[in-house]
Amino acid sequence: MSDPVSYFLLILKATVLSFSGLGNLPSVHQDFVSRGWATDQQFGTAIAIGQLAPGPVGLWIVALGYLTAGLGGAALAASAIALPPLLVLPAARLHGRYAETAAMRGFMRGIALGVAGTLPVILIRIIAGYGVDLGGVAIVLGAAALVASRRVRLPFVLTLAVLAGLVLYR
Amino acid sequence: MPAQSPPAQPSALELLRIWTQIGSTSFGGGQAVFLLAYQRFVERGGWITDEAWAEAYGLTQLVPGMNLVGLAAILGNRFAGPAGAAVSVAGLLLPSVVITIGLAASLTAIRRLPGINAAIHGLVLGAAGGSLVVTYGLARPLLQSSAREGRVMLATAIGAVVAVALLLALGVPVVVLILGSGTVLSLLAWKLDRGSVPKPDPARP
Repeated sequence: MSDPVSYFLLILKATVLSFSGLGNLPSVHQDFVSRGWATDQQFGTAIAIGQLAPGPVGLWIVALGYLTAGLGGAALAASAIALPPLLVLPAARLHGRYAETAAMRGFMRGIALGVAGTLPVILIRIIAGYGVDLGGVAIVLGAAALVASRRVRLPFVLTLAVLAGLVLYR
Repeated sequence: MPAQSPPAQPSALELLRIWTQIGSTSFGGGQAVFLLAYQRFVERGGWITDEAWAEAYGLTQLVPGMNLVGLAAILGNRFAGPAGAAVSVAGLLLPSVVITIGLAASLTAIRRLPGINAAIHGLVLGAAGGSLVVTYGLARPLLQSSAREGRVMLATAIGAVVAVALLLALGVPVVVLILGSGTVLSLLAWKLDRGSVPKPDPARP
């Protein structure tokens, strides 16, 4: 790995501005792809692993760390995402004085909306990285529909997606 | 009725054991972790009330990063101080991290088998589709709470999402977009709160 400090700091930066497991994806994608540190395909695989493995989905970045830079990358990624949530400890003491102001609420809502706007763009880029074909679009939309219905559990949806991949891309 | 002594708080060692178990069995993302933790700490252990639990979880949403990590930290700190926080976070993350690396390594190793690339191709597309739904799930409550604060706020919220998406497609750095969106919404919320957004006043000529 050429630059472990930047590797760590870029993930940390992205995580500090995110409030959900996938929230750091857009920033990391932009920073890593532009530096040639990761491909769209590696991102896609990492996201899938994040959903397969137990624990929070946010561990997708650890998978990306491993895929791009081995155990060192995984360790850096795991450290970077473990730190920001620890701010909850001082926050518990400051809570009430700052958290409840309209400006603060607005700021956090704005951050979350920013993530909501950037995430689909990046996900579509990752999907498009595989080449846009009818079958692929069908898998994406089908999986989305099943997850949105809330009637089908994620492991089952992913299994169907795997089978569809085998049928279409073998 | 004689006073009952409260159930003893879990020690750091016990916290490590509990969170390790949760971390290695929570398939299905954050929701699974949340549910398992709730069952263990509130229902079975009786170590924390529903109200305190909700307050703790609310705090984790004010702080960046994974909520569940924050939850482990705040609960651990509550029961056993900084050591409790440290082992809780470690217990939650380490098994998952190990399994995640294991999966990544396995996929890399078996990549040469026939059909694996096709299977992974399908898997990634399916995971991406599911993630798109998650995005919508993130946006909807934000827009709903914006709507409750009036049309100006809702319009600005929608505008922020659309603008950010378009600008990202044009190559603007994500950090700039997210901080920009935060700033705009913050200013608007502040102005609305102060009542300085001009409203039509029928009494004025």
